[in-house]
Amino acid sequence: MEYVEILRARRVLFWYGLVLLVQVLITAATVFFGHPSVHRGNSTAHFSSIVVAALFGGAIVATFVGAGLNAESGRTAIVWTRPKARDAIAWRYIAVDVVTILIGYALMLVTVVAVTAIIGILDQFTYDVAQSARFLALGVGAALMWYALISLVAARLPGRGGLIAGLSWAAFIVIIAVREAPFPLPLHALIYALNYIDPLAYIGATGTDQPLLPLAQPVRIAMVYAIAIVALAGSVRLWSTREA
Amino acid sequence: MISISGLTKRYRDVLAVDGVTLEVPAGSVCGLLGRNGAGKTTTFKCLLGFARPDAGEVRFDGAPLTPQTFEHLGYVPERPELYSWLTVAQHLEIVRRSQPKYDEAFAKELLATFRLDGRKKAGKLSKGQQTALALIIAIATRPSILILDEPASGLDPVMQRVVLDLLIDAATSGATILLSSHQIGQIDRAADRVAIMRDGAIVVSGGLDDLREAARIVEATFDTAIPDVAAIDGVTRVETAGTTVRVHANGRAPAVAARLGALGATGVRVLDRSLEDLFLDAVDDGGNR
Repeated sequence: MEYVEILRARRVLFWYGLVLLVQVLITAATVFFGHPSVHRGNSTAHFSSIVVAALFGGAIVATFVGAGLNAESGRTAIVWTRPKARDAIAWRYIAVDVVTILIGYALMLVTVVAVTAIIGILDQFTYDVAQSARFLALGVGAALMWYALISLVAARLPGRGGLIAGLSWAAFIVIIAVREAPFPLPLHALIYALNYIDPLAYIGATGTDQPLLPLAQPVRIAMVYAIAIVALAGSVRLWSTREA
Repeated sequence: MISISGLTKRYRDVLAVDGVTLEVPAGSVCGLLGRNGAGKTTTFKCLLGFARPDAGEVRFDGAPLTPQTFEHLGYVPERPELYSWLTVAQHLEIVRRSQPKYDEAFAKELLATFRLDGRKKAGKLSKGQQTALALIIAIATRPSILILDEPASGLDPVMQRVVLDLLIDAATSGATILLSSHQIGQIDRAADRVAIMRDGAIVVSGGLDDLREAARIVEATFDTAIPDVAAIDGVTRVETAGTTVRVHANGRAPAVAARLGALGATGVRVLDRSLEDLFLDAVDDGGNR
């Protein structure tokens, strides 16, 4: 059954890849025709900031594939009449989605590197393999957590996966944006607590590793994966036991 | 064989399926009839594990439903549930990849029969073509059990005939078939057994010939006053119009006819009843719906 999800993922990656390619071509054309929009300076930045920023590539792909399993709620006659356990079907869908998100993440990383190379600022980054690896783990984990939370909420609301995936962007951005707003204590506490289920809050200030959550980076890395796994297990459980 | 025993499903305060007990022997075609909302589709959902029954048991060839049951069970839903963005061929690829018993040659034959273009996207198919594709998905594995909810819905009369012939062929090959349809003529042609549902319960079930026999009516005309015919053994209902009386003989039409003759009827005839008559009798609730 994961064949359907493979086709869905292929379609998402095609259009996503096309947009990224256009971005690279526009940058190249701009540089080629002598109108670079970025000027070289003396400042440097950690390459890990690019690594973690590629999270948004994974998140974009997660948005499109996150509702894939949920979309099957209207096709139980096909999906649930296969000689395979429903939870096994669901995990296979998830496996396809995870690979798709990883590809999306990698494509975004390659695109950002290509764009910075084209405009000639790639040498202004400082490279620390260990730090980049940690940020890669965090970024990928946050993208997977994003996907898992979409899957979980969508599993509760069959047929509304697309809406939930779209709203996830607004929700996750708003949650970290208003975390320091002077709300009354109960509301402030609630918003602060919600930060713990916001993948963006685990990233911290890009490149400087200043966390929005008072947790060490290894803990944050462990938590994004743990939340992703728990949320995915929950969504599989909800999907495979619900009634059509 | 499909065995359903005491199947009950309740949605909040609505009793959708009320203690349904039904047996469809191997190699038999059972038509499930009922008005809209009678509980046919919910019964199917419970059979297939799409809905959890509150009580009762379902067995296929003596075993409860498991994922492996679907290796030899095909299902056609009331409304085709297809991927509008996938082609016909991609739908069949789903089946090929997920069903060990997929018969590719048979699937191609069915595509040709229904004149479906494998390259066409499901979203571009007509309603009838979508129904045909759903049917092909269900029977391309040559299942030994088929459950079909309105299998010929949206098809033109020629294609309806093709579908019925396919079902009859499958039954002849030993498949057990349970199908619902509002088109009683289809059931009449394809089924050898019938179950009629009303308000979630089965009110009539049995072999079609037996049911027809049981439903035969004896009509008698008297020159004089109509005698008390209700007391005749086997009579379940009496309708009189002038000097003519029609009695429902409950499977004992010849005996009842003979008794009416003995009571002085000047004309006696036994009337066969159509499946439609049986259905209308079974779902008749005095015009309250």
